[in-house]
Amino acid sequence: MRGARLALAAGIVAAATLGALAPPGDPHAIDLARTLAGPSPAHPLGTDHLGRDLLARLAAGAAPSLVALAIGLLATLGLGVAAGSAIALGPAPLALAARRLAEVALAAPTLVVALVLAALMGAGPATAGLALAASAWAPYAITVAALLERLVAEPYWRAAEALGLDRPRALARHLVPALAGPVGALAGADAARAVTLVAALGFLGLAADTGRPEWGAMIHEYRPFLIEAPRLLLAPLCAIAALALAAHAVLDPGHDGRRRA
Amino acid sequence: MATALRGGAGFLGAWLLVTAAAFALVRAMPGDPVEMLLAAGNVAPTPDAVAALRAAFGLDRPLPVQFAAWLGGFLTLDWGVSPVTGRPILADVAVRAPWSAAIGAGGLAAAVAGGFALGFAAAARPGGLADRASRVLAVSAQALPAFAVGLVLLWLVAVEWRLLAPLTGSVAERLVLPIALVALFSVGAVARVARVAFAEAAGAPYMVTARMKGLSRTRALWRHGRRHAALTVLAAITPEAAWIVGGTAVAEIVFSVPGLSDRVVAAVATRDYALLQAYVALVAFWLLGVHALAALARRRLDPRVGA
Amino acid sequence: MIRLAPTRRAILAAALLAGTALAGTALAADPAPLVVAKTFVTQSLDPVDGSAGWALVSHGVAEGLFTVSREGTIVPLLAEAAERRDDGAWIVSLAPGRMFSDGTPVEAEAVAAALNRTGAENPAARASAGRLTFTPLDARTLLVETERPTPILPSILAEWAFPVYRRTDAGPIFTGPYSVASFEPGARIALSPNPHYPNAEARAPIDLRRVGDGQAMAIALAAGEVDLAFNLPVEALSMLRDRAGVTARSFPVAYQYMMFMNTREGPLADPAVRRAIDRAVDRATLVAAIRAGRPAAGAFAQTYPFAADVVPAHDPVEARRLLEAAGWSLGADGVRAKDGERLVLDLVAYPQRPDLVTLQPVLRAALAEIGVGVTTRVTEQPNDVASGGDFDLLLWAQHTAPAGDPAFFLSLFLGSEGARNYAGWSSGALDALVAELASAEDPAERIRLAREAQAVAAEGVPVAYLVTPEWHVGLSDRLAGYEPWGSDYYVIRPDLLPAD
Repeated sequence: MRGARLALAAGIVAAATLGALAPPGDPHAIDLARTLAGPSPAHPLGTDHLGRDLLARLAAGAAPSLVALAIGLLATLGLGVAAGSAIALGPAPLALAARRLAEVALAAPTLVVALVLAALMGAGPATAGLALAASAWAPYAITVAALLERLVAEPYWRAAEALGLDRPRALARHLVPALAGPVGALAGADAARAVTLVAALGFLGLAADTGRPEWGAMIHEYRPFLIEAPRLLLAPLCAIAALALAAHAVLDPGHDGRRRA
Repeated sequence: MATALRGGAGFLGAWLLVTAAAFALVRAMPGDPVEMLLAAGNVAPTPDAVAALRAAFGLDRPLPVQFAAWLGGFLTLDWGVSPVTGRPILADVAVRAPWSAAIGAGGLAAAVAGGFALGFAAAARPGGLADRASRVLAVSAQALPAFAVGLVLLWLVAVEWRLLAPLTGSVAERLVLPIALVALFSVGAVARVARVAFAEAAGAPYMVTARMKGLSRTRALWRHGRRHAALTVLAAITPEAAWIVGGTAVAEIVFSVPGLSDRVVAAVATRDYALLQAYVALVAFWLLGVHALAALARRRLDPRVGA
Repeated sequence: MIRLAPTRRAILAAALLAGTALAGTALAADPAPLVVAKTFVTQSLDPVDGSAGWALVSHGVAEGLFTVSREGTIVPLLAEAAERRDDGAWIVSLAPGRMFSDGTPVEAEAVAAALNRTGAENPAARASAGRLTFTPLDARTLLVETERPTPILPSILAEWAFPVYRRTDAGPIFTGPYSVASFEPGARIALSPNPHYPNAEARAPIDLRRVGDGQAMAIALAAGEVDLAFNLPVEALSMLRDRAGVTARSFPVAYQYMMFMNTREGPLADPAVRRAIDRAVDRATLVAAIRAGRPAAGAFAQTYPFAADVVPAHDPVEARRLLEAAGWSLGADGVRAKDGERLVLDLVAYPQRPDLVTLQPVLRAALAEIGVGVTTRVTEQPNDVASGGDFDLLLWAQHTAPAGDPAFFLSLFLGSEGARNYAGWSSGALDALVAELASAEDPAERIRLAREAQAVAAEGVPVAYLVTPEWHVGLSDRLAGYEPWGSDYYVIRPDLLPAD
């Protein structure tokens, strides 16, 4: 099961790379004589409302979507874990400052942050990734801090400390594995949000440039066809779902808890 | 007492920081509300017309002065007048906020209750139906755009099944779908967090003792794991509350609910600073409130948790 | 909630039966409200606030002294006539027998008080001829003095900034076919027929609601919750087409889609390049891409008497020849270049009009045909981009004759001193024609001048007119006879009558 999901993750990255290196067709070629056509040998996924090849657009959109995901995830996790550790284990002034900062970031509504960032930088995958990170690091910091606080309050940690442990090594050996589960669960449920955030921003009036296909922007562009030609929406949706599933498989393995039990 | 005071001061400080940051950020957005207003009225933006309007809205003063004036007004319930609509902000917000609050709070409560139960069921039977369901929910919540799910929901409920009148029905009828939509997108994440916490508890030494005393796995898990799970979920509740603020906006637009977020999206487009500012202040208040309550609850549940 | 279903069905069935029975006996005593869904509901009932005047007229609540007819001409509404005196001031006489919705007669004093207040407080009311000053001469006659002389006061008074109202403690009172019974700003208005408006007994109360999303509006219509859906996205039509009890109707609007060309600098400073781009565009293809509308002939929709009537020819061969002659020769990569500079243009659109974003890739393909490269960009701030000249090609949607007069667009957008001369174009010939328009009084002469100005602009091509779009409304059987016209300026009209 786990292997299958990891294979899926690898497959998606491979497909995205392939799509970027050897595109299956011109994602911009318009053919108004063949709009909204169903799948055919020439167009395996059919064509969109301007007669463009859906598969070619999907392939062209893979790379920017993965970039959004990577930016969002890395920035969120990096900032979150660093700030969380500072809160739980750092010296008092740093801990307090980090906690206050996290609380402030926490209270900044994602929607407004994203809307403002998009207005400043233009809507797009990178913006969405950053917008996600700008507000999402704080919850990670708080969660990480809470977990660490609970862990260092455990008797075994106190005992280890009494025995004069090497702090960084002990952190790496005991705390990081303990963090991986809950933080992974959080991240697994968050990862692909950066990609869908592009679509959500579009829905709220900040459209990305549809001249550069990207999965979130495609969802927004094909939104009106939800009922008339759901295929157009389903294609990027399935791609994002596969991506989310892959991220989830890697970050939230799920069966670890059972093994420990 | 001292802790409470410090908590209160921290709360206020955080709120001030958020509102001040928002004040600066919102004004850093490209787009001048005065020129947009004139363009909307098909009026030529002559320097005179622009200067007159700018003075009328107090936009000609330095930023710190504007912020101080706004803060003073906000605290004394004088929230100013929207340059775009010409109506007092407070009146607008007072009518719309209850809708948003109902959707947001209802969605959060439903997500937490449902997520906790689902997480428990998932941990009680790893790999079982609940486990898989929570996984599907968590993944689909990030993969599916809320507006598409909302529209499909609307289509099924209003057109195919004719269960509700989501536009012209009673208040309850109008709220059911938005709350369900908002909860749907958070329940998976909460369930996964709860599941991990329950699973951790299942591995703890006291569980072995409990099992040896003859409790069934499920009952032992509930009796001894729920506190730990509650603590973990409480730690994760604020981010969900923050997501729900965004989810509420989409729900309000899809289901045509005259709430606050719907108005905010329009306010971003027209650079209605006065409304945006009031909105950020309120949302910061709500998020900090949820956060403070969650922290309080965690402290009561687990005296070892500090601050 | 699921238990509600049978009850709701039963109520619906009962209502339907009752409705049929009532229709049979022609006893429509207290008809059920018509539910009207619009993408916009006014935030304010006071015409001095922003564009509230436009919304109130569109909602069937307010009326002005003059209005624009379905044929695009200026006709008196609350006024009877207007006449220009030798000193340039105007005498406006009021129509007899008109009343506010509280039964007070519409008299010169009330009209003057309202319009002077609007003029003082709403800049939109000072846009066309500066400040207007209204002085009552007797109960039915007004003297109107204008800050800048104008030969077309009736047209200015037909602008949305000038609804007539009477201020009371309970808020402004208007003269339209409906009056406001209850009001949730920006969200919902309950309208009841104005008892003092002719034919009031044939009208039903209206429940006007804002539905922001087009798809949601189509679903509400399909669910039978809405009697008039204004307006629907074109993609929703196929879903509604085969549904019983629902009619979708398309109508041309006066919001022209156009493409400004930045004539200030770069390749587009050369009129030959602009002309080539204009020739490369096949308007019929654009219409096919957005699936509604008709090719645009000039600055104005065909409903207006002053509209130009020849659609610019699609001629890629001529376009290539023009570019070749201008020194832009085809490179190996399919993009033309001159002196080492590639001919790549920045094409900007904005998402507030989704059709413009749809047109972007189509235009890019059309220009690629003649060797012009295009990069597309979407901005949420079209006004900034436009007035800052931060574009090569800018897609734009504009109501070009909001008050039924051609001078508005020609002077504001094409005049070299026009405040919204986005193309940065300057033409002495056009400026002369606009100046003549500013003083010409004879309608036939104004039409001739407007057409001539459009011909001059067609030579210089600061802007390519693309499509006169069509909008779509959805109707339940109760309103199946409704004929939409007048864009979004006149939606709820006196002739909006339920079939039952």
